[in-house]
Amino acid sequence: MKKVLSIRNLQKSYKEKKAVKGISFDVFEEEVLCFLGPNGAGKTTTINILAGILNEDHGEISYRGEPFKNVLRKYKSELGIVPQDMAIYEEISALNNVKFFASLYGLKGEALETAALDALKRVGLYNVRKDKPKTFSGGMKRRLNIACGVAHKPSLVIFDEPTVGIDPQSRNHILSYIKSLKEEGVTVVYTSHYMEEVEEISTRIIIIDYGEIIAIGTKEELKETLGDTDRYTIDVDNGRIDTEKFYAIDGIKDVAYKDGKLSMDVIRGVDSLDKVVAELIDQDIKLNSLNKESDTLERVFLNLTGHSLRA
Amino acid sequence: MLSIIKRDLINVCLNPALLLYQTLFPLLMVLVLGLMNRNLYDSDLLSVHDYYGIGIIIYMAVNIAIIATNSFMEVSIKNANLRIGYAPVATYKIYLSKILATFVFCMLSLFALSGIFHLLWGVNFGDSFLLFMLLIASLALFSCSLGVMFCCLLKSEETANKILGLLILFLSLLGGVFFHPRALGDGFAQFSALSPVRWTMEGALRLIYDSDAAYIAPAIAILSVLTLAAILVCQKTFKLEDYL
Amino acid sequence: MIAFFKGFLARIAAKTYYIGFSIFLTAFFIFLAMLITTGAEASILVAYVGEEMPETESEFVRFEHLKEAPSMAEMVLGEYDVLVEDGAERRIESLKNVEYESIVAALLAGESVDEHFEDDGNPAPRIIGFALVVILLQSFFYLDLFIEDKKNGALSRMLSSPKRLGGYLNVVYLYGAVIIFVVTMLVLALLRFGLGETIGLNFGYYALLVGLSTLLGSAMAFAITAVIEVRDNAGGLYVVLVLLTSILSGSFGALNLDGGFAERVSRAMPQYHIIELAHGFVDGSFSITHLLYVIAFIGALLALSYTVVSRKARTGMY
Repeated sequence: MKKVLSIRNLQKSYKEKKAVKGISFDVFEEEVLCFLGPNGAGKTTTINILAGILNEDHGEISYRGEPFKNVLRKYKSELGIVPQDMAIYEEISALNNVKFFASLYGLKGEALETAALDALKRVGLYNVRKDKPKTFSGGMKRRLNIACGVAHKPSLVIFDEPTVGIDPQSRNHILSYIKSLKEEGVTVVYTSHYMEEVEEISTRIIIIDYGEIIAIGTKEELKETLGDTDRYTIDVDNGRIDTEKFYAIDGIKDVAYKDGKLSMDVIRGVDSLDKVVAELIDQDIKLNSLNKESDTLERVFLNLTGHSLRA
Repeated sequence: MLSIIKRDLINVCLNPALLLYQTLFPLLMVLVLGLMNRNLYDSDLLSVHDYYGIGIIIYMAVNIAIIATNSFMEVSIKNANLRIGYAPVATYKIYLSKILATFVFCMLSLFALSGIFHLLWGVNFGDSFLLFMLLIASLALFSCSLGVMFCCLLKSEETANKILGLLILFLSLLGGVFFHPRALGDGFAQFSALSPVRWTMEGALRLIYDSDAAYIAPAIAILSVLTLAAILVCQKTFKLEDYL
Repeated sequence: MIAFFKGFLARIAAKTYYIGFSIFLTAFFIFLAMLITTGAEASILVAYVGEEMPETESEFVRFEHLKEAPSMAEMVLGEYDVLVEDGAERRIESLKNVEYESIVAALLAGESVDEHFEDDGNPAPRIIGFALVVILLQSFFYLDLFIEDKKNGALSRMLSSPKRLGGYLNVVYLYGAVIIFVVTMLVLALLRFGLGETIGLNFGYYALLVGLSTLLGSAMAFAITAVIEVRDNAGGLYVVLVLLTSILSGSFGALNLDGGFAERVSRAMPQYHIIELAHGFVDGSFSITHLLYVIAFIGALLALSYTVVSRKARTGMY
């Protein structure tokens, strides 16, 4: 696959705080590359640098093999941005918003009108095209925000947390739209701290935390980092549990107990659950429920970083 | 660039507070000042409205700096303005469009105000109205550049307005817009030569009452140089990340 | 109230740069306003064109000897109030009120004219007049924290706490007034003791005048921000109001009050009464009416502010 963007050793600090600490990654054509990380991980800083509005302290960025800054104008003309903050004019109609921003990419006359209407149709705002955004719901504003960023039909679109604070219906609409962009061969870079979205749309995922890339790969590759274990969570009555005794059971790799929740990693294929239950009975601990956790990106994140995604 | 200027101009015109400020406020000022000082002048050649009509036009031209800062970095349009930076648009167009849009807004309102002042109070603009407005235009352009420049330097509309509000007041008082600076002391009057408002006031009054255009060209020249200097400062100091 | 006060202090500490810059601006502009108004002034400036300047005795009328008559523009601009041309005949002309011509004519005839002028040369009323405008304008900026609280939801959080709204509003009102008061008094001290400028009154009187000014400014700014939610709209309107009321009140000392309508309008402005208090301290004709008027005005503005904010809080606007 062809490389669209190549980023090497990107660094950015704000006063004494290092927001991005030397990250390197590539963006390939027609993929949906998702940045997954909690708030403050460095996603938006990275995006702002890629959008060409924030200067990096160190690092190299190249676009289709050329140094980024040498081809900035060409890069920007092929780039669409959907920023995290609502970047629309509240006092003018939705259609005029899209037309204005699309005109900055060289669209004029009938082509401009068609592109604007098309963008509004695709985000489901055609019927309210003459209304002003100040009358819109949050979800509608987010969709208009998208329309303004994609009306000029860019080949690379960067979405920075486009679904923050909106209703599930609007969110689904946006995710469907992104999937349709992927089908059209548009390259998408998408940032989020919602792992369900990332699971749904991503081709590859970059897990980022505290300004550093923790892992890169497809969903499957990342889930493999969980190893060959399954995690079980057992709800018990509060009491004294001797966790060391569980290690004697064949197949048990890791055990932790806190506030009535006993969690353990069990090697796949090894049948140890009945022995676990027996040990609980021996220790006179009442078992309330037993659940097997799915292999989710949340687990991957926890496994790789030591804390949960939403912490 | 034209589409950005058009958008900025519409944004300013759609702000009711700015619109009122640029239209109703000067009318109110001339009315009130005229009423309060109606016995100040007792001459066939000059009425109190003549003096304040010219003074307020000049004051509004210098006060446009506040509107310039608003069109540049006001919170409700800041993010949308940032989006312009994502597009393949040269950075200088972003701040230059704000200067020019505010300038156009100012001149349109001042032309209208001049007409209203003349209609209501017979304010005397002399025989060379266009030359007078050319002088006003150079002051207004300087003022717009000043406002945007302060935003570029201070990265914030609020902070820029804090300084500009008082700076404009001082320049206007030094300029003799409301009364001669001597009213505030000889010390104050000594500094009036430093005020661009003073140069404009003097140039305008000489043009109107002495048919003497000698001050116009130097005043316009100096204001133009100052405008260019302000724009250069914008060029050096403005970064898109200031919008973040 | 103490909890809110501590909260404000913590926020000020966190915004040291911003608040420090605001205080610097306040100090700078008040210093400038006071410095340039400490100089003496002549009330009438006469352009004299003739062979020999006449000898006159008046501290309020100054003559300037010119080779030729000033231009019409200079007269309009107020560079000179009266033109006297001594040739075959003496010609006295002014664009201004006929009173100017008669005063100069009387002076040239050897009569005393100083009784026409109220100013005794004491700069204190002028200093207070101009500083008052700067104080009023600056007061708005210290309401930033209140505007922020309304916008970011912090006020609604405070309303849902057991603390009384009044305590919070007291801090909002007083915080800016105290800062500007302290800064202004320090500037006065710098002018008096650092630069040796004449300020015309002792610090006790100035403390009262400056105190009233800062309380008035804070009350005006508070009222505007209580009524108008959008910061820019409130700020724009506030500047207009301050400028208009200051000019109407004669803060700049340049109004031609004739005892009629103009004077009635001026008397309605609280700034007028603060300046009259300054005059009263200078010439010993202090009248408590002026003080009471200002206090009542401040009280009315505060009552409006507290009522509006409380009502908005009750109706869930925050």
